Amino acid sequence: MPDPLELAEYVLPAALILIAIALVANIVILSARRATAPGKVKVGPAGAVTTAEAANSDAALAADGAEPAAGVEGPPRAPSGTKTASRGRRASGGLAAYATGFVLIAFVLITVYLGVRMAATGHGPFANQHEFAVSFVWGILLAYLVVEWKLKLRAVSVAVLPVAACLTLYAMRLDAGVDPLVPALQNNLLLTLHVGFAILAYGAACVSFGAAVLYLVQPRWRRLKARPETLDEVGYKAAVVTFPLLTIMIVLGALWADTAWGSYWSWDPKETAALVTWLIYGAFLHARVARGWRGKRAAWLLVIGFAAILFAYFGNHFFGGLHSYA
Amino acid sequence: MTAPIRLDDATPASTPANIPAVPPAVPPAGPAASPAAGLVGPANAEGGPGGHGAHDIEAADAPPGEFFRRIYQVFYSKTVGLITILALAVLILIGALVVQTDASTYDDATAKAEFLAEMRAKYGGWTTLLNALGLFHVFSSIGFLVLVGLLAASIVACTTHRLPRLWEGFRHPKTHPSDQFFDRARYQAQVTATEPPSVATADVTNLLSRLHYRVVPDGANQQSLYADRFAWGGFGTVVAHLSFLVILAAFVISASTGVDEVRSLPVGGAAVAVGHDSGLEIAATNFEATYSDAGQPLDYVSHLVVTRDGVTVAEQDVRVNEPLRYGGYKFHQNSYGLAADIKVTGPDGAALVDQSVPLQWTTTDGTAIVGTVELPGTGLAVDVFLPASGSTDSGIEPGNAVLRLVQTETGETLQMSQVQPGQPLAVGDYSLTFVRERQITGVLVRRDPGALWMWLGSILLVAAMCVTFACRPRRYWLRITPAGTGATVRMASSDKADSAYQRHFNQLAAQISQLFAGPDTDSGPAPKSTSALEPEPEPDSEPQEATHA
Repeated sequence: MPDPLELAEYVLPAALILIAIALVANIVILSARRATAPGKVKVGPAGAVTTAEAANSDAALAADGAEPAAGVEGPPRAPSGTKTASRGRRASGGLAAYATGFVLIAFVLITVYLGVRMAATGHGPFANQHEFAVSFVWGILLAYLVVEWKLKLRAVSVAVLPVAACLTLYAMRLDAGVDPLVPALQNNLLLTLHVGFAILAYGAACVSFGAAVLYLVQPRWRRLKARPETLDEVGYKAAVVTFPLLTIMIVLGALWADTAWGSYWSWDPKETAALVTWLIYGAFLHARVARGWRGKRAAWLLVIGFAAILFAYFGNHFFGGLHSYA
Repeated sequence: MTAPIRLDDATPASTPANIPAVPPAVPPAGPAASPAAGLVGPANAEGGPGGHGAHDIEAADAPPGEFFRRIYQVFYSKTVGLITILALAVLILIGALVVQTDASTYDDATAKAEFLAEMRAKYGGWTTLLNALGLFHVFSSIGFLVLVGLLAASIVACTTHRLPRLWEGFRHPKTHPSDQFFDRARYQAQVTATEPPSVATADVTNLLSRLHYRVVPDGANQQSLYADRFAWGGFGTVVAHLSFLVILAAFVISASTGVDEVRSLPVGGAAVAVGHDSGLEIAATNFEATYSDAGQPLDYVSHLVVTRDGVTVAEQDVRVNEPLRYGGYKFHQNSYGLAADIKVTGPDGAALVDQSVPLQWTTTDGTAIVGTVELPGTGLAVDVFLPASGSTDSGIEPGNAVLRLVQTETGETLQMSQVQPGQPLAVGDYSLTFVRERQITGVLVRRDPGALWMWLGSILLVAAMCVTFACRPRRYWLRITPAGTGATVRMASSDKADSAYQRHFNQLAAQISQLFAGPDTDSGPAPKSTSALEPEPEPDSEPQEATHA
């Protein structure tokens, strides 16, 4: 069994480098897309696709820096006169595969590291700030990979991967030692469920944040050409995933507090901060669905929501209270 | 972009046959609904293309009287609800940032003054403002309670306002949109069938039923259908909001009823009565605290025995995560420390005090721990001092204690001496004896009738939320018209722009297309499944063909 401390020395820097390379590659792909995307191609796979459809397909591809989405018939084949565009696209496609691959490898490395820690400690990798930080990165990469796989939305990586990189750096600076659980945390089931849902919620929230940030900077980053509607919808959908996960996380936390501390709610600063986060995402969903908020206002609420998550996450450094371990 | 078109705005849902064929020129002000619809659902989620608009304010379900109607209007306003949520978030954030004290601190003038002095050192001049605004006890402040009350009222008003319309839309969906609806709806598809309209209608109806759609034929047009799936999904958000009310009620019940007390139990000492007239007593027969070599706590465990009328009814090793539960009570490991067994006799030689005195405080210099016990009916009290853990500067010999007899009224010390265990200290007619040092364990005794409601509300909330987000209602209208010897099937839906909705719509259109694409039928390629990222059709743009016949 590898020593988790030794493993941390290699795995986390490796994951950080991979995330950084993937980020740079994605920026190149997204910035270059405008030059290579043949927005006016009118010839379909069998020469039968109407002009409108071909243009639409291209718009979707160019917008999202993506390969053809599942279910979409193949991308329009470039006619012979557009060899440069074709080469550019192939180069971009190759780079895209590497970028995705790097993120995937980083995710696998972190998964292995967390697995080794779990085997060494006998509990979920959530017992201190280092483990929670690495798990947070895991959650972010997982959510990002799902979005890239299902929605082919590479653009959010520009905002999501820097967060993952910063958290990896932060985790590397923390004490990675394996200590026994303090008495309050000695509840393997609830530790795993409560923090596990937090990790999933935080990962989805980070993607939501990424889409919102891209939405806000998109008008100024003209080369990006991401479709605002797509970013808006992905931000919303990620929030739709975040909100129930946050709810489950808070309810499980209340259940645990009732068992360990004797009361399901104590207005402990960390749980209070989690409630603030929940209210902000709740406000976002109500604003969007009931009040029709879209665009900038909705995007800002998502940015504030993720700021609240970071606030709750880092809060135990300055809150004090019962939730001091992580 | 134009809002999705809406038809037959002024027509009651129950009389679809009377719906005018021409849609209103002005689209509704609000957005179309989604399953995540919040407090008040917009038209389409509830009534389909003939939903309701702002004139719902005039609905017959408004309470009588103009004044109350306006109040009601305020509470079911989505804007008021949204502002309330955001204001609550800000206030709670302040509660997380500013040091909070227990509300009871403010009941005791001395404790309050001490607390404010402490805060002044931290917040300086802001202390007065923070104090005036009640921000040192946010969660019991008037502002917080008012906001929570507003939120509850908003949820109640929104739900009562929305529910009848939701139910009506579910029971009697609009089935007869105008022809223009099929040209202007956000989601459109068209399929050509070789069968005559009546056969095509029957085939489509069968397909929809097989796919678990509810199919409602149009009473005014035999070749017109309404189909929905997850139409009940809209009720998920109602249940979610009501379950939030249950959670709020749980907080009220927990705060106003039940038992919440910490009892210090001398380990191996006498049993202590707990609860209010519960008839239960608890005693700790053992306590152990375990630490790692690095000094990190590993385990705190007390062996607790619960008795009723002297009979043991429950006993258990109680750890932080393993409370003892009996008769609706929970006993939690809360704290631990030291006590001093003290015996005091009065002038007649009778014992005034013979008990373990918990040493709950530390002297200001941190060298000693101290506890106090009053001598009943004498106006006197005894303070007991032992050296603090690890301290060698207290001046108290290991194993010894310092006893101090004081007058409770004046605080005047009558006698203060260091004593050995078992050695009586005579002060006037009184005899004070430090018997021994003893471990104590702090046990939190809880009985919380609100907890059950909390869990019930939480389970409902999570379940309803999942239903709301996972079972978004799909409402489709289909019209089958003659086309040569065959028929044209037109399908439309008016809902919020959403790629997943678009995908489901296209999928159904493709399945209908395949229905008519027999081996000898050249019905062209099936409609393309669109990517989640493909642009959605503009509601007022040219109808986009989902298939090519």
